[in-house]
Amino acid sequence: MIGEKLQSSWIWRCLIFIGISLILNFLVWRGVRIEEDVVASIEKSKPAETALFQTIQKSGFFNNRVYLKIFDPNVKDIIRNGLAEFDYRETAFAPNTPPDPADLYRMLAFFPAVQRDKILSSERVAELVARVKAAMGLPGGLSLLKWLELDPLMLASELKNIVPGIGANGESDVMMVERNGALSYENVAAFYAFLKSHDKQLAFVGGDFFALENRSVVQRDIAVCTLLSLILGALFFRACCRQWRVLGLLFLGTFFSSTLGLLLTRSLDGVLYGLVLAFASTFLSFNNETLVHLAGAEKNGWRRSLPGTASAIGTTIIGFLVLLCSSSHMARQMAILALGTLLSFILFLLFFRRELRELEFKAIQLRPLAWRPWPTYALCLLSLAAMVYLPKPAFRTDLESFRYASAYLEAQTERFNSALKNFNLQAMVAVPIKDPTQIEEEFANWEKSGAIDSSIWHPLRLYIPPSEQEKIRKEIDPLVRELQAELQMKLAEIGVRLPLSQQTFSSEGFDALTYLKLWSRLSPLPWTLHTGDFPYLLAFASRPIPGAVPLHPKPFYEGILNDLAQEIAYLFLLGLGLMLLYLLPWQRDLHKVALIFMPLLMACLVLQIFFIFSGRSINIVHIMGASLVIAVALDYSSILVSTQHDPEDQGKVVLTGTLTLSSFGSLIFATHPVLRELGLVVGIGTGVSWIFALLCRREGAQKA
Amino acid sequence: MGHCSRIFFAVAVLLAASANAAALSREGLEKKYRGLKFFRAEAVQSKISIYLIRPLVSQVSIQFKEDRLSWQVAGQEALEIAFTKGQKPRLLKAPAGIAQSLPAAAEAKLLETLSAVRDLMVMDPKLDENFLVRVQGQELHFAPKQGPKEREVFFREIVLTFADDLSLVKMLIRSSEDETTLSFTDLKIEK
Repeated sequence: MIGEKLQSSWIWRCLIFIGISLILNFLVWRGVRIEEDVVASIEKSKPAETALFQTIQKSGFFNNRVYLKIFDPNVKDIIRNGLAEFDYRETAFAPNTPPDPADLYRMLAFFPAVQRDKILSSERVAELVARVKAAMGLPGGLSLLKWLELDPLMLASELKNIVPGIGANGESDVMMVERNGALSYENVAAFYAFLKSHDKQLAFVGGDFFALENRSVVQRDIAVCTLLSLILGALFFRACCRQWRVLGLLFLGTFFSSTLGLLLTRSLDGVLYGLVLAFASTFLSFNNETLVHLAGAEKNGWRRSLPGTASAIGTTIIGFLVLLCSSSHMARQMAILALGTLLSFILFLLFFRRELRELEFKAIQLRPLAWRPWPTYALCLLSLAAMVYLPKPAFRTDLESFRYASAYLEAQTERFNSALKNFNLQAMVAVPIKDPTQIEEEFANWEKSGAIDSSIWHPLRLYIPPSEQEKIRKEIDPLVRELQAELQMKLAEIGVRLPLSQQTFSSEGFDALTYLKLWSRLSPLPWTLHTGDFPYLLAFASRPIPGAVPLHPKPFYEGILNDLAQEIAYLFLLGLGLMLLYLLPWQRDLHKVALIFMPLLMACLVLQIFFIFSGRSINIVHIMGASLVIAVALDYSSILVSTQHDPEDQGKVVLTGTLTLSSFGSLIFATHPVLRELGLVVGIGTGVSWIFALLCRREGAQKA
Repeated sequence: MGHCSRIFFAVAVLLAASANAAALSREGLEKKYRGLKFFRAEAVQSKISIYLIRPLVSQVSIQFKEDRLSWQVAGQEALEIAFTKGQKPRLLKAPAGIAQSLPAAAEAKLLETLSAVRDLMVMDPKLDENFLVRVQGQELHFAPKQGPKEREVFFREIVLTFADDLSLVKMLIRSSEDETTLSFTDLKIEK
């Protein structure tokens, strides 16, 4: 009784589905973590590499950190005083605090002879006395004595002549601050605004600011794309179909199925990516194809409809199934969500079979070009040959194309990098040192082979073996004591007392690893890190060094993204092969299969030409977009070829094509480069394949 | 003079002292010094410190004009700092070798101290925010409040001694390294 009532009253069924969807929606969004940071998806894609990278980063200097290049020393205190308010703190990795004099005196033997001779001279003592004389009458001037007490020959002020990036008095002009806890966008936004207000006196760079900007554009894109997609979808549906009930089914079905898809994704992954949610805004177009293809299938008889419908839906499922094999976490999540949504939509339609049977679509009588088998095969082979013959666009994924940054942030990053011209941080790598006693030899070998950037300063170039160190120390230690005594005496002549802490000089030489550890305390960058089983030597590579881990996020993430892009491209080819195998039994005719593939091949060719002329390189986003093109392109041609370009099916494909183009076209208005590029590829690919599918039919196959 | 006259004299001295003490008040000082646009002072500076074998005595000229304060020890170049609203004081000029040799932390403390001198001289309305200001007899004591500000500033206390007519007589700056006394020989102020 109730079943009959439900069957007869579609309003009741709709209300039940609205209720179920609302409950499921509540479950989806309750306590869900939405990851807006795109980089997080890259990290999850390669957990092993990321673990090593993160370990090195944690003891290194990019993790959760913001770097400030200070041009005006007065602003340093303003920044220091403001840090706590934004939940950041200054870290002590870079020597923003003065270097420990004991370290400096241990390193004196390694100072270049010119600097050492300058320091160890009576002229130096006279110069220091003159400085004290000038300072002592000023309020606070005697604090200079406090420094001289610890570092009588002021070695700290000589560091800047040896190591680039060191300011006067041995302090680094690069300030490093670290986030205290988890990322709070409110705090990051406030800190960003704070730094912007001082950007004349400093340059800054920090991953947190990229995460913040990405988040805001992804949120905006989700809203804009969904709204545009909905409005355009409704308009096209209204124009081509004029049945509000269908539109109601489509929207309600999309609401229900995407909710179920999100619930499935959430339960499998735990976290939802902001970009995947934005991608979900395009599901209306996938669903409209399923709805339109299944509509009337029962009425027209499954024998006629099944090959086309099964070909269309089956190839889409294969396309997403192969994406499930990807290492890319985001690609897998998109595939799970798409599959979950597609299957949930079919489930939803099962409850509206009567309405589906009654649906009628406007028939459109186009005049497609009739193709015989051999010209079809020839065109397919020709397009394949053209793709092989034409120049190939570069196959490269830059981090910039995977994340959004405002012009201001890009300019600020560029300004920071050029301010740090002495250290090309992007070339910085950590090389595992299997035998710490051989560091200097290995370094010399890399340098000889051109793997190390010789234009960037490296402390190992100043390293001398222990025997030589001992020899130099034997010469300089008495001289240091003599000059310190001379300084004390000359200061006493002007009425100044300089108490000297009795320093002990170790004449023992030390190995390269200890030497690098000392330099790590003295210079703005670390030179050695210890993590896992080995110590790591930090160096600036001009060519890849075996086993080296890039320390800068850009080369590290780009390495992962390029690997993933290659892998998805192979999956994409595998998917095509599987689709071909899948279509053969359904179509039972090679000519039909060739006609189904022809629009897709033409779309790929046009995309290749577009990439060549626009100067774009193919990146992971384009590859993911291409897999969507496969799904929809094969949908159109499968239906039309299977139904022999039936006018009613032509009308359906016109409708679904315009809907898909409008929903993917809406992505072109996205600000985030991932969505925009996805929209561009899917828009062009879908458009070309849609036109070819409509205009190419099998000879003698069209119905009147 | 008998006992009575001695007692009378002692009472008179005490009364005079209390009358004088009453004469020095925050209000009075603020009326005279708040919002000064210009001041110039000549002083004899005497400095004692654990780093000095004997007291260091020198002649000092201090001038504040158009948001710039200069501090010149006789025979040396002047040290000059600029004050810009909402920003920390900035070192404009320093005797040869000082700018290069003073550690940044020491430079910051020096600027803090000079900034405090300027704030005191112009009776800056924000003085009470970070510092404890109290009047004791003819003296105005100025010390950093407990908390982070105390660690920031170079000095522990600044004491200004005023004459009956509220003219500045002496300034004492106590720091962890030294104690500097400025005995003013000439002071010109303009509002």
